[in-house]
Amino acid sequence: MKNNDTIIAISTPYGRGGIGIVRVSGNSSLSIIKKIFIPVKGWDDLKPREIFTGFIIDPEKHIKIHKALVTYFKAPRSYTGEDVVEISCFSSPPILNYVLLLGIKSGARLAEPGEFTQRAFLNGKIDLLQAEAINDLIMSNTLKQALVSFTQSEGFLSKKIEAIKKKLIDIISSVEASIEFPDENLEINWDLYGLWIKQLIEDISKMLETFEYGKLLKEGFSLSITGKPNVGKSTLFNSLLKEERAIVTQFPGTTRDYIRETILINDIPCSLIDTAGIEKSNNAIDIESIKKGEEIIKKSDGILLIFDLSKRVSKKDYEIIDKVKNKNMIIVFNKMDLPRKLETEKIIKILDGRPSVEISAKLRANLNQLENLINNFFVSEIKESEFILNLRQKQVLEEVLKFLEKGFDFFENGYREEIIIEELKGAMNSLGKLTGEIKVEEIINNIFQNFCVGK
Amino acid sequence: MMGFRDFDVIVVGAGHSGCESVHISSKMGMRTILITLNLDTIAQMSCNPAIGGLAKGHLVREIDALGGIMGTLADETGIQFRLLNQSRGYAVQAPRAQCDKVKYRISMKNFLEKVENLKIYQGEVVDVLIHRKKAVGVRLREGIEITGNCVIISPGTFLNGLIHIGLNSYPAGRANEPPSIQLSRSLENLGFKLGRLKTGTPMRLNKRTINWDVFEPQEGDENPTPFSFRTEKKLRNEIKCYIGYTNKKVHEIIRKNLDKSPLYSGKIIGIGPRYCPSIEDKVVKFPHKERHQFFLEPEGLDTNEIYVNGISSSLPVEVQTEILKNIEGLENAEIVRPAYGIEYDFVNPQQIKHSLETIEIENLFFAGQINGTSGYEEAAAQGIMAGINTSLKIMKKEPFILRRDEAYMGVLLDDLIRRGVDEPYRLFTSRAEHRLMLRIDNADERLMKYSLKYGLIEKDVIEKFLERKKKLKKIIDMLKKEKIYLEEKKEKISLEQYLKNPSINFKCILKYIPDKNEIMNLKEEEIKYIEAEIKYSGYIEKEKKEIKKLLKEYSKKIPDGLNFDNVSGLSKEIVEKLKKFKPLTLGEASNIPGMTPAALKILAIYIHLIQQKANEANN
Repeated sequence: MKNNDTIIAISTPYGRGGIGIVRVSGNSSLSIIKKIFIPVKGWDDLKPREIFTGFIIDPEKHIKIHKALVTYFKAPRSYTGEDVVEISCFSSPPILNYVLLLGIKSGARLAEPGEFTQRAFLNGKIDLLQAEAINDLIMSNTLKQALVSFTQSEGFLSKKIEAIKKKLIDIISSVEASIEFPDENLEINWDLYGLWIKQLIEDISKMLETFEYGKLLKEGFSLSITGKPNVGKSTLFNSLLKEERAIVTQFPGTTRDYIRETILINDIPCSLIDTAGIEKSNNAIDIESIKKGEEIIKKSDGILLIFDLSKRVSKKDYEIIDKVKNKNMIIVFNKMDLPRKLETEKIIKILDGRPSVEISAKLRANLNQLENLINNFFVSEIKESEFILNLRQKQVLEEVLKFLEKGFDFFENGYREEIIIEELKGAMNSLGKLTGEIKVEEIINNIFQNFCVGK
Repeated sequence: MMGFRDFDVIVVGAGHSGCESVHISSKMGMRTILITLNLDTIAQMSCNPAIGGLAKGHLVREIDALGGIMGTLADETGIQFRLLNQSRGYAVQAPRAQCDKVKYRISMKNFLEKVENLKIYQGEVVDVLIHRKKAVGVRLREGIEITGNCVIISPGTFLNGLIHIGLNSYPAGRANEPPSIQLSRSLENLGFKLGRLKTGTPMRLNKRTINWDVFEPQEGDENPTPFSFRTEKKLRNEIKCYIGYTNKKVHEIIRKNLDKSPLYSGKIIGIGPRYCPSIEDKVVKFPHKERHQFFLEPEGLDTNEIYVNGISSSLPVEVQTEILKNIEGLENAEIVRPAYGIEYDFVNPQQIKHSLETIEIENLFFAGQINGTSGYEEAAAQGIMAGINTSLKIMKKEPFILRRDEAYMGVLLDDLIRRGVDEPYRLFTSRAEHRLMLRIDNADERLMKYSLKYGLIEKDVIEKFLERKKKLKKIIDMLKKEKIYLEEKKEKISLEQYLKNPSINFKCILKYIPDKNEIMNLKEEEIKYIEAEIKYSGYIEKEKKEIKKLLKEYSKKIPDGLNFDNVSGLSKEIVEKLKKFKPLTLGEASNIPGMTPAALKILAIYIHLIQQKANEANN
């Protein structure tokens, strides 16, 4: 079996902590990885079976997503016998999903469960005994597999999906009962079912939004560091990155093009942006850079507004406060290691209700407190969402949605019941990929439970 | 010893299954014998005086397209005809007819008596004769042995039947008719696992004791739809049925007397059908329903008996009388035959193959109620398939197996074999994944090619039908080509596209058809065929594609002499089954009872690997 397409999947157990691996297999593995990964040393001395450090990048947005290690296994000396690339990164579901998404956008296809093993088997890399995992290949399309390794939060999802399933079965069995037992004169409450289908469409669309929402999480909620020049923005930036990687320089031009890095706050990626200091200037370049900085602040989900504890409150501080006062923000009083001159109460008074923290970015003091604040203020709010769909769930629900939308369209346009039902059954069968096959017996059981039919 | 020798096909039981079996095997040139407990009750309709209904009417059409007799006889003896679900789409419409019971059974007997190659004999089969794990004949109670190549067992509810009325019970296959008890033991001794099912039938009333004025009549169709493709005469409605309702008082009586019900006192162990609940079941399971509908249906033209469709019961006769007394219009109704429940043995159908041959004993076939089904039509469908497959077996030909996408008959048999049975099985249209393809208007198109192949219907008859279908296809092609300008949408579309609109039917497009000659003399059902083919075309095309893909996979050959032990990943049970059935293709493997999709996939991959290695070796 020569497979022309290249497949991709997360090949480590779902969950946080440790190393997560995204595996790509197929002829285009290498060309795909070249689109989404930049090795620190460059591609020139690529050698099979050697580990490359570098960054996962989003080719559309030109942003670095995450640090990663990449290993290339040249065919046939690989697990599947094809060209294989393994991307190791921090095992955070949002990050792994994001890498997966990038791979798919770059031309890979989401692997069927067990497909790597299947390819390994077909290419003679393993024998059937080893390939017993193929059983998983088929079995894994069930609820159990989907749920076993999932975190507790997944329980919400399965409840939601069960609720959708129940509604679908109720509608289908009511219509089927009326079709199968015409002498009973069972009325089909299409007015109600029309509403139900519409509701299901809305519910599923909302669920799909959680994927978008999850994607937003993966792309990192963005946090701009802002404040007047020399309050220690870049130092804080580096401190939060926990390594001296960001470019720290005295030259204003450097920060004009702002720096963006991703850090993990409680495992949620946060895109941290070091902006240019906001300061009035007549210099055209400065004006441009300030404008850009303001734009970034506007777009970012929140800001860390930095003040220098060692200096008194100035007019400039007030100007900045005035510009950003409507944003979600955390007030960061920096340089707590220096003699204190700032009248913090004045600032807190103006920015009433905003959380604040005193730190020393240079000495990395109280950074934990800042991170906790960021977590509480930006992340925990997001986490209130009951579940985030993974890619497979999203694709299944999109299928379900398509059927439902067509069914609803048919309903509205006066199509016959058996045709509308055909779409609803399509939705039911697709949903079965998440719940385990929904057998016709479930419909028939439901009919006999709810309708006194037969004579 | 006295006996009859050298039959090709021996059929035990002359119900709706047995009659179809013997007719078709005789037609296929087999020397056939039909053995029945009573020559006077051949094709007796034990329960309701009707044939057809949703999915069942579909089955009758299919049986008819395979040369079966149920359709023509139902048309011949029908006294009221209705096409069900006329307000719905064509895929879920099906004919149903009230039949004259006596006429039906006499017509069947007359018909079979004229069939060539067929001997009919009255007797009770007590034993199946086995030689080297093959069925070779049967033994009758009086010691007579009848030998032959294949045996079809279709005993219906007579297999160890036990009738219950109240807490009284007595062995019977139908009221006051002795059951077949020894045959059941014989099958058990052969190693078959038997189970117990239950069904029931309502009371029959004296027509003259009913106050008809209070009931609402239900008329037949003005233009009756026949079951058979071959029926040409105009069908006539001779009778009306009437609709009535139970009431709270009746329900109270039933509840009060539940201790006298064999069903609720635990006397009946067999599982009953949920789609055919007794009145006591309805009252218990749906306590909030204030009334239950029933139908008064004449059992025939030459009888006063009225069948009370909807009040099947196994309560004592005095309670049955009490129930009727409290229904308006039936206050003085006389019961001429009481309602009763009946338990009988069945063989779980996972012990047979799709050809209806048993797995354990070659040349032994089971058909009808013995396989856990209920219904005349379900029985007849199995009967005809068993008849064809015994004949093919004797001719050393491949068995005839219909797929789920080809016929309701395929759905029926596949369900039985793959899933087994835990309540009397009834076909529903919703059991078919390809419902839009399995219609009454295309049953001929779907199945007559097989009639041609196996010689089930005269060639010239079939060719006439196929010619007709070709003409209809031509009309569809024409509709695809003819374009009209739609004022409201300001676009040009084909008539086919236009007809897909739910509010447009064939009549609406008549005026646009340039050559009216082509559509002259189209029968109503032919118009339905055209409309259905066009309105469902999107689904039909999609399903056909999927089926083609599956068939390609299923046609893959399993290499000769493949040692299934070497295929790791298969469970022991599956390996044993594969060894036993020796499937030649993946499709055949997929038909093995209990085969799982996972096992099939492993097998497919294994075969692929072997072939790949063989190819590499050749290169």
